[in-house]
Amino acid sequence: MPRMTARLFNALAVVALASLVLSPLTGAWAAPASMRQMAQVMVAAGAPLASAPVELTFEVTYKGFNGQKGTVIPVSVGQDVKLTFVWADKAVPDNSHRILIKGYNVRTPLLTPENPQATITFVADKAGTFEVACDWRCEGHENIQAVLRVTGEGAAAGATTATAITLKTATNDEARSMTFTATLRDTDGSPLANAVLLFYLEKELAGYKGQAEIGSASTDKDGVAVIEFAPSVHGLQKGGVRFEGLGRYASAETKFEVNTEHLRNFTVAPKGLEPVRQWAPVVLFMVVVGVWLTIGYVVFNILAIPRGRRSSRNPGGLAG
Amino acid sequence: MSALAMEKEQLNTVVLRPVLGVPRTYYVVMAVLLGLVVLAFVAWVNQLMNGLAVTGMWDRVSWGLYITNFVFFIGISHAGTLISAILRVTQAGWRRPITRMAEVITAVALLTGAAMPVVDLGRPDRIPNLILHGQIGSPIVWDLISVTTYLTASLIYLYTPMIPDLARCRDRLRGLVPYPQWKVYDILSLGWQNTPEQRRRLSRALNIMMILIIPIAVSVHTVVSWIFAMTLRAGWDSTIFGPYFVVGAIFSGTAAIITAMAVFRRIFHLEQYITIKQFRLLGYLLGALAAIYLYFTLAEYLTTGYKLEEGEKPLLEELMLGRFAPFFWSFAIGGTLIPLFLVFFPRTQTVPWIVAASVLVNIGMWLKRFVIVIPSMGVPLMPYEWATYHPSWVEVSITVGAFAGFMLLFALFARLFPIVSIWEVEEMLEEGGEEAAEQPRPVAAPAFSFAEGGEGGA
Repeated sequence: MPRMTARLFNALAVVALASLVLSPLTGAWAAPASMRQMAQVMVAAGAPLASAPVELTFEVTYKGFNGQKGTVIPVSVGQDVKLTFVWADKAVPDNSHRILIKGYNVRTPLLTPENPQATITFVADKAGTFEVACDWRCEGHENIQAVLRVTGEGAAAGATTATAITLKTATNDEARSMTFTATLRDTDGSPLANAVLLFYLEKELAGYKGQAEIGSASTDKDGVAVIEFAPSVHGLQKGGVRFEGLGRYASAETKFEVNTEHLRNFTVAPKGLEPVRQWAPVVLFMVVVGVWLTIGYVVFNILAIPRGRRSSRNPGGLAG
Repeated sequence: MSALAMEKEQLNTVVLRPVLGVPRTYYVVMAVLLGLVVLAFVAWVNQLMNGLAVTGMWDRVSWGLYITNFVFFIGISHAGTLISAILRVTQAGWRRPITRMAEVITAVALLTGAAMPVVDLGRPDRIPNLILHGQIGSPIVWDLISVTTYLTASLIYLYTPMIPDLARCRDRLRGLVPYPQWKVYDILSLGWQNTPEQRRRLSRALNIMMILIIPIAVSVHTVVSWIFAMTLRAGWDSTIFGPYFVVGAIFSGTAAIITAMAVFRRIFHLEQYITIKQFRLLGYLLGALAAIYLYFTLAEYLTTGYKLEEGEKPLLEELMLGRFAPFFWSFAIGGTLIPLFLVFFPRTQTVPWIVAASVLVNIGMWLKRFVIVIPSMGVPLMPYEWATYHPSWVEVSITVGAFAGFMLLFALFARLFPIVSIWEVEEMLEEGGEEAAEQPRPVAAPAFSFAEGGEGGA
């Protein structure tokens, strides 16, 4: 019963927010401050427990989160989760960390003494146990592990907000590479921050088609993610940018086609053998036909020998 | 009668003598060879009835003795290309008494070698599928094209310079040989009367063929090597396999022609035409090719042994130190190093030693093909044990039968046709000069002895 109540409340909350042309209200997507205040007001007004935000802060050192390994973070499905990580590795001053929540695919920027704090916010929309760990090669790497345990059923189902990606490409100076600039927004046009966008090319190997990742980047506060692309193959390249979706935000994908003919300074064979390969059977056929035609001409000469019988005899040369 | 005419007459007598009759031992040898061929045929019928399960091959070692024999016979078929075509193109006069033998080796070895994949297929009735459903991207189809072309070209190349000699048989042997045999000479000689027009046609055909057959022969063994090199298997994944195989083929082909020369020189008393000069010069070629082949072998195994990629490491261990080490080192030492020494060391530059070197090369190169084919098939591609292979009596019988068939066809040819190109040797006699001067003048009833041959005789 409390679960149904929570679902009902969530649905009503979303409808109400949508009617006010507001984005989902989490700081993770850099929504306007007024929206965050609205959400906090709603929570303060007595939202069910499942929707109460979980806000936790962890100090990250080589010993783990808050000095220990294996911390468990319990949350319920549908809850807003706000995790703040603070670099506190004073014993190892040059140590850096980047915290990733696997399965939710959200990560902090690199935590360093110069950039010591980052917050990631998301909606725990799927149940399960997810690893929270550093994905940067660091001192004490094996200790920096925790578990996000999401219990309950998908309260956020049906409450996702559509997203869209726009992409711009530009050739860099000296035409050595290209820059792909992707912007992720929701249906209201609000930018979504801290979302990981995956850039890929469509490739084929031995008859199998697949997507070859060429880079990934997190969106900034303006919803913009940028990668630099140095292609190794000339010609038309097809690919795409994909956002896996997160919390109340649905996944999005945008396809692109770029021509890399104008780029230069490749590190490998620029064109590959593709333009030549298609002619290989033709060349082989012509060579074989040429050889057999020559053999045919030889046979023609041999078979013409009987016709030369009536000529004058000459005992020299090829003795007979 | 002038001295030249006498020499020519003696040449005709000596070379055509086997066509008129051979000693009883010839028939004994033929009977033994035929028996071995029949045994092989029985083994093959057994294989056809019971499937490839009667062989030692299985799903992991799917190539065995048959493919080893295939590569070996295709290899020695290059004898004709080297001795006949290349030496003809370069106008090396000393080649003349041995060109016919080299060309016969080419044709007979190709026929024998081409039969091996058919036996290996297990289901010969599916051979048309190679043409009907063949993929042009498959090295097997390339092989089919190149071997077929080479077989056709080598048969033409064998036949073309035989025409004047066939006419000689037609003119000289009428009434002396059975009529059907004479009729064959009559038909195959194409009415040859040595007219200018006929000579022009023949020269044109011969000139084209002697050039054309060289790239065809090179392509054949390159493609044979690509059957291995186009796969990602340890030991086969090599870029130098093409030239490596071609050099190996010419190497073993040269050894084959030296062996054949010695046999026919002795049986048919050809000592005055096939002299120590031919043996010594071919010995030099054999030595040079042994050195080149050793270089390729070193380049191949040193580069893979230095990197020791996964798969290559256990293979090299098996080859150098393991179960295949006796085969590998027998090839490396017995098949290349010792022959190299024998042909270049002055004291062993005699007919018996050069022939011994060629026999060693033949054995060594068969072993080399064996260690190319079998161990690579045994390398586990998954975390399994090594795959083992033990040839069955069926495979051994067919292998022995293939060698017997090769010798049988060769002996049969020598019984029916002049094994020395009479008109080419006559030309050599007419030209005189250095080439002819180095040939000994005809003597009555020449008798072969290894000791005598070893003294030089030229």
